[in-house]
Amino acid sequence: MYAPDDLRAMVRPDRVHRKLYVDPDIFDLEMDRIYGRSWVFVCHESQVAKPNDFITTRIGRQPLLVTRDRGGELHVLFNRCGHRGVKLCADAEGNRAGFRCPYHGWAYRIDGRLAGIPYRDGYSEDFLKDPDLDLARPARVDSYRGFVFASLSADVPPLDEHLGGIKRSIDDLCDRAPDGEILAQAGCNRYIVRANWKMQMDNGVDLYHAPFAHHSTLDEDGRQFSRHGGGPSFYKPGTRIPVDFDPMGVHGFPNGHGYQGAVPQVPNPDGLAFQELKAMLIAKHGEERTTEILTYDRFNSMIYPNLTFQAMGQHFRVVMPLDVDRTEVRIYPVLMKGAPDDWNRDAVRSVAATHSPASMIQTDDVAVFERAQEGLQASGADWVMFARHMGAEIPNNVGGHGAPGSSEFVLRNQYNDVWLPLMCQ
Amino acid sequence: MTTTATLAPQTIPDIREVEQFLYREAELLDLKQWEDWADLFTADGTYWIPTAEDQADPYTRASIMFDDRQMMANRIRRLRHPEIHAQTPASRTTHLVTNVMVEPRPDPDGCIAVRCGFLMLEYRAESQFTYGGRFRYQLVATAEGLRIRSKTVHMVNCDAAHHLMAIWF
Repeated sequence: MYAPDDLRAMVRPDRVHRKLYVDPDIFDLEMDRIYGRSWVFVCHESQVAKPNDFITTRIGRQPLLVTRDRGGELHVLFNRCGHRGVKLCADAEGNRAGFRCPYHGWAYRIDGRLAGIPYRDGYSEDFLKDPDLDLARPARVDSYRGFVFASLSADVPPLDEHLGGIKRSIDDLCDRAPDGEILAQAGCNRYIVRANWKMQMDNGVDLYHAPFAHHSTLDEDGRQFSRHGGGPSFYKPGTRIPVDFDPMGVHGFPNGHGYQGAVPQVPNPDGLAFQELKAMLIAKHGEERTTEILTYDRFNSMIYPNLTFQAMGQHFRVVMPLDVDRTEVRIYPVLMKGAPDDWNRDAVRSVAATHSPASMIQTDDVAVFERAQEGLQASGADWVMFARHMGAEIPNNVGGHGAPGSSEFVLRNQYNDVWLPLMCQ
Repeated sequence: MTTTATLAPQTIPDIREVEQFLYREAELLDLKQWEDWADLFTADGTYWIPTAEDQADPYTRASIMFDDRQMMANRIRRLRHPEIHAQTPASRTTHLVTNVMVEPRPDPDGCIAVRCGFLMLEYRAESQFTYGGRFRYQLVATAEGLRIRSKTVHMVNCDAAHHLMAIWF
């Protein structure tokens, strides 16, 4: 087992030890100390929009059941019968009034309260009053603009404080919807990466990799095939020289969250649906605020430890660790509530091309993560380097630090200031 | 389902002709003759893999693939690129098509409706993957032979978490 000093020896200002990615003992500790001790994204409220809606998901390895009761209240519950611990609900989603355990028939209301035990005369009255019989809940649950987070530990700051400067990325996404809300009601794509969960998170705001990992998707002019709303050219105009992503900037916050700045050379899309969306936003907010909303100044955002999202790509992505070398990722197309149908239809379609398990962009990332997992088995070289633009970060005006776009400082910050303290707590 | 213009109702061909067409399609994919494979689709032809069993369309719910001819061309261009990491090393596949059934009458769009079972065995990067399910086709007869108006792939595990995929079923 790792003592705090062992862990400290594996995280240096510009590098981390390969064991962070390949050692099952580290993974077990992370499930307890990262996923067990901080706010973790659970789902979007629209996934359980109607009374009696439910979904099942996980925090780390722990099974969760998220429900909405008939009064409209949302419940985050452990998906585990109070009797012998059987996973209560086996479906991914649905709508029903309650749940019955398949083993001995214990029944629960949609809000997690015990509804009935068969042959109850075999139990004492005291036992039947034990609150431990109801479905257990994570210590803390809170949400921000529909994004639901939970913490297994009560000892965490308020969610609002935890999110801090990254809240504006969520605002950015939601404000693009004429009704000011997004909906995650277009299903999701799920893929398996045979690599450690941190690979996907390390990639969350990585601008350095794009021209190389995604070379195969570039057209003559350096643009990726028709992405939703156009896309940046990866080449300097008229050349095959990769564009300099540094002016985009990358920003990081004290709790490990981060975002990429505006993509250069990307005009707003110009289709009919966009014009219609823009008119709706102007009617609601006026010209000036609409221009502000539609300015893509945060391309890709990441909320540590398990959520990334794109305002332009219109999706959010949930990273779900399974094992030290196996990770599930779920990609949810984002619907803009109140937007023209064609706008949302185009966004859903676009995710199939960019981020499905058979997409053209994400599969190159997955292949690279899997090769990194193999490469990191090499004990002759122990370090994973994050030294790019070391020391170039300066305070930004939103409570964090900014750095040149290809800087790896968000990762340096994550491992030194978030991962290590949580693991040593 | 994808929107297709209604055609003059097609004459239903002999099942052997349909089978031979499907086997040829499978062979083109195994031989990586993707350009020829894409040419089996009509100009408005589509290829769709939904993520749910009863999915209505590729616009209101996530799909694993939804390709028109332009997207097929994009994919082929990428598959031919020397730096496609998802195909380094390249996959080897065998596509099997079986249980072929041809509807005796044209479907509401006037197309020849065909359904069949499929299995694809794929070997890539020291791993073997098995995919299976059902295909639903809308075919049309042209002067050049049968062509695909739409192909929908109902994977038995459409809603699963999948390993990366780069090749059409």
